[in-house]
Amino acid sequence: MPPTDAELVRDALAGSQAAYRTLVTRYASAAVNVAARLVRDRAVAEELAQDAFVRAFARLDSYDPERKFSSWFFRVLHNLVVDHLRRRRVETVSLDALTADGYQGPADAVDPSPEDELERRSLAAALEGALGRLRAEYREVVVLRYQQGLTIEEIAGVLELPEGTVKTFLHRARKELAGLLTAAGWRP
Amino acid sequence: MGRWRTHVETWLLAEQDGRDEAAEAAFDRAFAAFPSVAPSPAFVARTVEAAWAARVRRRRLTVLATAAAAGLVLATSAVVLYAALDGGTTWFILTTAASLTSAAVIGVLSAGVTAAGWWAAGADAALTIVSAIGRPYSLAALTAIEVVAAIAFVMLHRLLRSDIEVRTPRAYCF
Repeated sequence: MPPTDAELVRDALAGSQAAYRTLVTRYASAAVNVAARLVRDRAVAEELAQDAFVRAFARLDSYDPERKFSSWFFRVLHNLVVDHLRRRRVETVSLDALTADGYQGPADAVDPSPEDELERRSLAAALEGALGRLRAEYREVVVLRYQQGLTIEEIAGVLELPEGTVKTFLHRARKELAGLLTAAGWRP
Repeated sequence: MGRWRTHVETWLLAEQDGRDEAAEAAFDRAFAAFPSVAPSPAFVARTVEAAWAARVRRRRLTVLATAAAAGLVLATSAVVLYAALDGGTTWFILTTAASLTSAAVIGVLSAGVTAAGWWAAGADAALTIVSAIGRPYSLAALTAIEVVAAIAFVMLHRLLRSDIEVRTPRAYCF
């Protein structure tokens, strides 16, 4: 049975580099993904994700094992991303640039046909463009909820917002995305 | 019509009809079209290395800061003791000067690079007071304190350069 996050944290605090490496491996993809969707630059996303892991390690003794490690860690990442977005103007980049070297298809993709793959890429590009036009706060809740699978409660903990606000953000974000995709030609 | 278009159309229809739960479920399926961004192959190794290097720096810094603070307290105590044994009206002025300097240096240790302004101001004040009194031994003792503090500051600055967050300078005056 693989060790729990709390066990890995305990071992890392005791000086086990292997335990810390396992923790980083476990959350590397999620960290880079969340950062990439928000800052829209792959290289910067990796830097921010790395900084988040280093900072989290420095503060590992403040982690409460009663809490989910992912929520605590995403909070650290969120603060770094917010600081970065405040300092820089976020430019739009293409979906291809973002995923050029490391595309991972959706989890349920089982030998997609060329037509299916073409349609998926078209939708992904439309979603990417629409997501980029949302406010940063809306973009973040959408990515945390629908890509990382966090619950409303967990997102509220990460962003230090009331759960009601998170629900409102999600609702409004979805409505805006629906409007943008309809305008882009994806009609019911 | 492929499955992705079906997911989107189901979602958009549900949004139009105000069926929130159905819209959320369909959007969840449509959002799966988004590819994940995979970290580069060296990401994990690079990150672990950076975290461990930062840990070593933090430990070194703690040892150095403790040693510098202990040295400063000893040096300040020596000056105060000297002034007290020497007696006279210089005692109060010298202890005040020593307190100002040590408070400013402690401000450097705890508040980071931008506190250098406070340290410099404290050092100037202390040196002005002591030189006005014109006692060579007191001046030498106070100068020695500030040399120790300056060395500690330079070493701390080098260690902290990549880690420290610059904060607004605050007055740490006792």
